[in-house]
Amino acid sequence: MSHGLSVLFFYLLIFGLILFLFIRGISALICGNRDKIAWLKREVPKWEEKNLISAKQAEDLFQFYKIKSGEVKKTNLITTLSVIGAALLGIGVILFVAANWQEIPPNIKTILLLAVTFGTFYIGYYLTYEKKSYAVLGKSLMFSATLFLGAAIALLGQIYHVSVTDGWIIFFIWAALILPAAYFFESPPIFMLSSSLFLLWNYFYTIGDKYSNYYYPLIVFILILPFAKNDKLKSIFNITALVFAAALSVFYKQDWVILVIAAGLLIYHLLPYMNFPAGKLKETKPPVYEHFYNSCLIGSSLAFAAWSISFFLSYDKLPNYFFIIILGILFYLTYKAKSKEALFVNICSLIVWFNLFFAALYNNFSSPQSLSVPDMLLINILLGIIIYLAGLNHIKEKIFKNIYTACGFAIVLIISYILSFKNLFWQLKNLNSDYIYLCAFIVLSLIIVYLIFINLVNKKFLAKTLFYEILIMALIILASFTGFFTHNRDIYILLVMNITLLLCGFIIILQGFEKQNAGLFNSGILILVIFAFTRYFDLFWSYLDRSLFFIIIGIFILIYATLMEKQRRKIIGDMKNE
Amino acid sequence: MNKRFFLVLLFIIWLLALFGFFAFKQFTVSTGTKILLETAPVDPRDILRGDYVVLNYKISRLDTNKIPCDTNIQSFSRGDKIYVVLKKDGNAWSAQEIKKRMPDRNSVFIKGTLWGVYPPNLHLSYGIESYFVPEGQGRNIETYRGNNLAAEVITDKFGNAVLNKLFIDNKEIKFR
Repeated sequence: MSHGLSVLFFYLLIFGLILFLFIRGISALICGNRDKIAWLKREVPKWEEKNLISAKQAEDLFQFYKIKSGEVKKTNLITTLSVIGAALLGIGVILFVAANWQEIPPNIKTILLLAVTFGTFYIGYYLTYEKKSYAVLGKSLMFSATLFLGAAIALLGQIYHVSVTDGWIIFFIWAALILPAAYFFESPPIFMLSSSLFLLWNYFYTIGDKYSNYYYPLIVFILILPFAKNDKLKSIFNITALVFAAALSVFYKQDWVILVIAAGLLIYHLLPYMNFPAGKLKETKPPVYEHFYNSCLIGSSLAFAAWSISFFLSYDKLPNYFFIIILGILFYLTYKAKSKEALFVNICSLIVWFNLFFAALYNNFSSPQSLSVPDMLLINILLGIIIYLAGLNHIKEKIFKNIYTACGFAIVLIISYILSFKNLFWQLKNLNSDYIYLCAFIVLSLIIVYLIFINLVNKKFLAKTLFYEILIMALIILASFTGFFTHNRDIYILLVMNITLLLCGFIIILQGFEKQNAGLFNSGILILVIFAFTRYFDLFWSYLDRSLFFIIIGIFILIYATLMEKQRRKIIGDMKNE
Repeated sequence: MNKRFFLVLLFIIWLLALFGFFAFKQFTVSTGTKILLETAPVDPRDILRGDYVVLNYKISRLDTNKIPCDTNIQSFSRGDKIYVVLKKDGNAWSAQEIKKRMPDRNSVFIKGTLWGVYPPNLHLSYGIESYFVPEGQGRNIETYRGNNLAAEVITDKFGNAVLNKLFIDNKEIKFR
């Protein structure tokens, strides 16, 4: 016996031992308990019948072994364990193939592997459907067999040295072959494996050949999603995978693939509207489905956002007018479905689209000058204010209102923080008085003034914070126009942004007071602390500037506190007088 | 229809698919012509199939000024299938002609995919760029970077190619 053969024998022995222990362990886990419980279920009524035990005792016995509630929990644990075991076994075999061990000739290796694959699947089938009592073990053996099948395909690819750039073909064949097994034998792990392999196929196909892969979304829409609808994990995984595919396609400017994905998900979201009268949607659809359709809307919104980016990368001089219509439809559907997550995604994609739209307009109309970063930031801060004001307008949908206002507030806060650093962006000291910026400022400011007016008329502002909010908006609007009147607007904008940050902190603190919300109050304090901390260590300001800055703000806050104290005393005095 | 029917059906599908994959490649190996190509390798790893050697052939980059082409190079685009007619040049084979249409069955040729057009050069891949080796043994081959390393490739009458063996100094590489 040669050295190689003895090594092979040794490995086979170890492999067999592990397999035996695995099967033995799993079957003991399942059958041990199941059998005892089944036996108990059978025997206890007999004891009761023969008056060996009383009816109460029999009931106590059942309760002691938790026969009803406990069983489900244990089965879940067993299922999880056996799926993990099956997965490890499969990975082991794949790694064995990858090692490309030369002791066994390729043809023997192939035949052995095929025998193991079909044998394992058949045993799994036999245990699940013929013998029936070993269903969990049987199903995990079937799952193992689907992994062995992958190893067999990889082995063929290895023997014939299929080029790594065509390596996606292995994932595709594997995924396509095991999908029917997932259908016929209702196996969630095999279904998830197949979904993951399709995703990997798409990934390697896209990055390797850089061609659009229309087959992937079509396969998911036609062969996978209809069967994943009822299961949260399956549907979320596949919708996320589609969004991932859309995001990947952005890098290769494959606009049409992204559009197919986005449109497909939108159609899935619209399916219940097509079947039922739109108004009765909520009453007629089951709750699990509702989750699925909501995920479709979120996925579709994300994919459309990816499309707007990809569109800009492909045609950077063509403003994306089409997206206005799409965004309108998406917002309409979001309100109809009352989806918080979709609203957040769509607000984000509105901002992204607006910036890309503006950049495309600028590229189209303006001189070869590059886009001015400070001006873009100012435009975004105006957009943030508009989103905030739009949020105040919502009364009925309180959650929607909170999402809008939080997004708007966050934008104002982040951008004013960026612009509050001296010289960070203001090295571009010269104004960029392109008429295109002027137009944007005017349009956005008019919208803001209109929204402020509407909100004032309808009394949507919180009385205590109204003054500060209006002050911030007025200051920011003024600051955006300074560039068109003066040559050192940097100092104005710098001042406005610092004041804005300070006031934002105050607004949050006041709102925290008003709504008795400790979280809001603390965030306000945090904003002020970060503000003070940043200014203290700010590299762009000289010490003298900073010292003056802190003294002025300190005095300002002390005066404010004194005024409040006075007011408090007055109120207490009034109360005493009464 | 019961589960047993599905089981048999599934096994038939699996067997047919695997056999198809095998037959597609084995057809090339059994019926094709053996040719020797010159290479230059490196040594990465595939997640399913383990270590392999990347092979770059002299025919992976073709200069259309030196090799006649039946079509105007400007009309080529990425992803096009192209046929390269080969001729025996000493021990190894080299490119003789580039064709957009499938050449005469009597000649020896290989089918490639165009992945780059940089006039006057064409960059092609033939699906024979990876040679899978036992774990950790790719480095040995890598030291033979250059003229010593040659690959035996089999091409069938449709131009499909399968990488068969590697030779160092005209000696076949064996892993034991």
